[in-house]
Amino acid sequence: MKTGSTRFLAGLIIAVLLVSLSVVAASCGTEENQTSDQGPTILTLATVLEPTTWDPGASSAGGEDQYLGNMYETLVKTNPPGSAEQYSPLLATEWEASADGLSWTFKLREGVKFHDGTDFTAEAVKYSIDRVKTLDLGMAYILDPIDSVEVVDANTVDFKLNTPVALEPILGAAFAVWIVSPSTETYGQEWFDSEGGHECGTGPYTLVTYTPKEETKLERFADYWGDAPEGGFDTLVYKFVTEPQTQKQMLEAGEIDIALGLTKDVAATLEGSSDVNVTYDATMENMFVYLNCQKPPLDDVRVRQALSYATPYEDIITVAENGKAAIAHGLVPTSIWPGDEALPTYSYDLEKAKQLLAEAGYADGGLKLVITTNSNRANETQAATLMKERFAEIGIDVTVRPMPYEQQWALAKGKAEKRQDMFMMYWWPTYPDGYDTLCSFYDEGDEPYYNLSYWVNDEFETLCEEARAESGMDRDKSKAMYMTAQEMTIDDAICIYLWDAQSVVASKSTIQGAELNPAYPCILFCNDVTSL
Amino acid sequence: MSVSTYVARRLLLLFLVLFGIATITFFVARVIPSDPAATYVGGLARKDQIETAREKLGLNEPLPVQFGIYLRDLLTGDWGTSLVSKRPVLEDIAHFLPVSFQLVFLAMAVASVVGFILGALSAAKKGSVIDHGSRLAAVVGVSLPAFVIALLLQVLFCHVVPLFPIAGKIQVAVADQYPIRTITGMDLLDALLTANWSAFASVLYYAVLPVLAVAAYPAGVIQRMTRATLTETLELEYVRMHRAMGLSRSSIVSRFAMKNALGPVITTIGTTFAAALVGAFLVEIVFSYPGIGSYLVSGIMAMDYPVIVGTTLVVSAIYVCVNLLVDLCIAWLDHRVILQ
Repeated sequence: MKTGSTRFLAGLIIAVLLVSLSVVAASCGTEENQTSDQGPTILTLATVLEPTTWDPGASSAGGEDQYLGNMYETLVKTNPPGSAEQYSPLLATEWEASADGLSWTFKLREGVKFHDGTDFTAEAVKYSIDRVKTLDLGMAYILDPIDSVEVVDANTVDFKLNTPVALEPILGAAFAVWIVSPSTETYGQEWFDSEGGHECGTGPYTLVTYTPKEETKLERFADYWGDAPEGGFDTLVYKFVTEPQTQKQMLEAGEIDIALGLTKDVAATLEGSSDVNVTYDATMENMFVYLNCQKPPLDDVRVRQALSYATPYEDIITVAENGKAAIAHGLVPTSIWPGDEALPTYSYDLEKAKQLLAEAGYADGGLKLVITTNSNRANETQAATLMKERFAEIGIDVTVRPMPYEQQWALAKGKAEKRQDMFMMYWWPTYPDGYDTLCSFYDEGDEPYYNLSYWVNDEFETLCEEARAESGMDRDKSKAMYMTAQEMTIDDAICIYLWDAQSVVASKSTIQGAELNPAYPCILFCNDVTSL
Repeated sequence: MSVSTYVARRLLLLFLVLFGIATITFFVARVIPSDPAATYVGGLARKDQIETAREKLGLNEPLPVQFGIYLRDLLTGDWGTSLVSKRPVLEDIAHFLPVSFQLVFLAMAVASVVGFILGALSAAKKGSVIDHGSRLAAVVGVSLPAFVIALLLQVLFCHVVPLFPIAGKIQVAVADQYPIRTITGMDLLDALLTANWSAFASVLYYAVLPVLAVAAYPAGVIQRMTRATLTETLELEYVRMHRAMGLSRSSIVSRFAMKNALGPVITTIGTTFAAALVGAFLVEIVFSYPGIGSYLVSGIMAMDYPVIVGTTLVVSAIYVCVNLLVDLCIAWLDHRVILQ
């Protein structure tokens, strides 16, 4: 290399560096200006969840549900607990059940258009429900009580049921019941997930682009039947940010408007800031610990009750959920039917625990138990560690084994003698109805699935089925039966019921309406979000 | 041995290495207790749905048979689909790899310039404050893992002194107003080719901190190599002769010694490239930079074995190819090196 060319090279490098520096400096200067342009208004959200499919009929995860809820609509909308009406009309305007509860007639909203311009009619409802039942993917099983959907006229449909269940909680669910345009039939099932994703719903937003691990962009649908609120947003941009701490910093730096993926401890550090609002809402998710009812010593109900008394519920909520959770009253969260705060709870009482252990013949303790936790959820291990500490005081030695959920589950389904004594589980029902949780505790014989307490109680099963069959007709009678069934699970101490979870959303203080509905735990309905 | 025979042999070796890696990662990913069928169905799946998925994915076959089928598909260009996203793995890799490459190329450019300048300064002013400072910086760059540097930079420049963005690849408003047309998949290059200056500036601005974090290690190595070879060269007789002839020290360094030092430094750039690529994986996580590292880590978290095996194969192939290129370069630059 000649000296001249070395000089030239050095000069070139310096020039490139200078140019890039000046470009960077220029871009820093323009950061602020571009957002204040009179262009479309953009709402930027940070999420940790990636979509697993764009097919509303196959969906079973929150990753896609957060978008589906803004692009598709259901016939009925489930309202948050405490609302005057439990369900309100959405694509259906009114409905009624026959006397035997086996036929439900829905009047449909007129003047509704799908995103490709086709009209919303009774055919679309039939197509959507039939499609999910045929695919049998995702959460399709919640449609099992539905035998068929019959088109009465363009704006009326009849649902024929095989069991007289309440249909609103099913049709107002967050999965499997989104209404899709029948025009998508010609494209085939693959169309939904091809070329970065397609959709054709009636919702207020349409899908523009999806870039994996990066962002999803939605745009307002001009022909939406409902109102676009004053101060609403034209464009939604969801950024994938896996670290809660990073989401928090982005919110503080003003790079995002709403953080959807904060953990409670990170959210706590934002409280009190005048630029950020943090809201906590009830959810239908909860945390409990399966107790192995078939393996000594936990096959003795007194030992299980002793553990339930030796658990420091309030301390656990303080440590694991930063105080932002409610004491659980059994298996069903109190935010959904038929959960109830009137159901009894165990409270922390070491004396009672010791007494029960003594009755069971373990006065000197000396018990060894294994609890498995999901290693991806740090707070599960924290809760288990607190339990270990208190259990030690009544002579029970607990080994905490954090592992990936898949392994935890594989172990629980494996050979009976190798199974864990306790299994910490984060649970949510498919649709806002406690039946979905309770029926998973039916006897599953040698092949357990979600009854990982391995509990067997025929009376409980009969009662739940009867209560369910009554739920579409006499709600109070059904509830009373469900209450008895739930008391059985509490008296028998088949699980340690830790907490009913709360969701957390943090938003800029200029943003309004960033609140979650417990019935749709993963969906922030962005048509309700406005800026001041 | 002729160069072509040598390359052919190395490529054959590459094939064996990849076969070994495919075997190990496939079995490790599958032996760990987890149920790919359950992952495929997702959520709180029902038993019969999982059985259907197991049938569909061919998971009822014995594991060696599954591996055979996987290998056959691999060779015919079907790398399988992700269990979670159901997207073709090869398509995903083609999407994410350029993003990481962009990060690593930029980082290597920065590291080469900075490392070389610092090394040259160190050698020229041996024992001075500049030398000590530059050596300290190099030690920090080499010994601190890239993700720790990434976290430090994030705390420093996003939180304490908010100069740079914390996460992402481009500013949302800019991307919305000036979308980048994809040509190569490397945003910076694509923006340059389409003369999209606003997007170019924004991508560059967002890349500053991740690039610095990835560049720290190669910059440190290059600094040390430059310093060592230059120091050695400066003690050679021809340098002393130039000194005696009255040439200034700085002109000796820049005109004569530098030339001799360049060879080993180029080698170092090559060998640190692979290390920088791996370092970039965790840096991507810290800055939510959507590259192949983010892709692999989420694959591992979900035990998504087609993603894990596919990505590992591609990254290993790059690693081996870069090493081959480096060896060829050395042989080309220095004819005393014999390829064998």
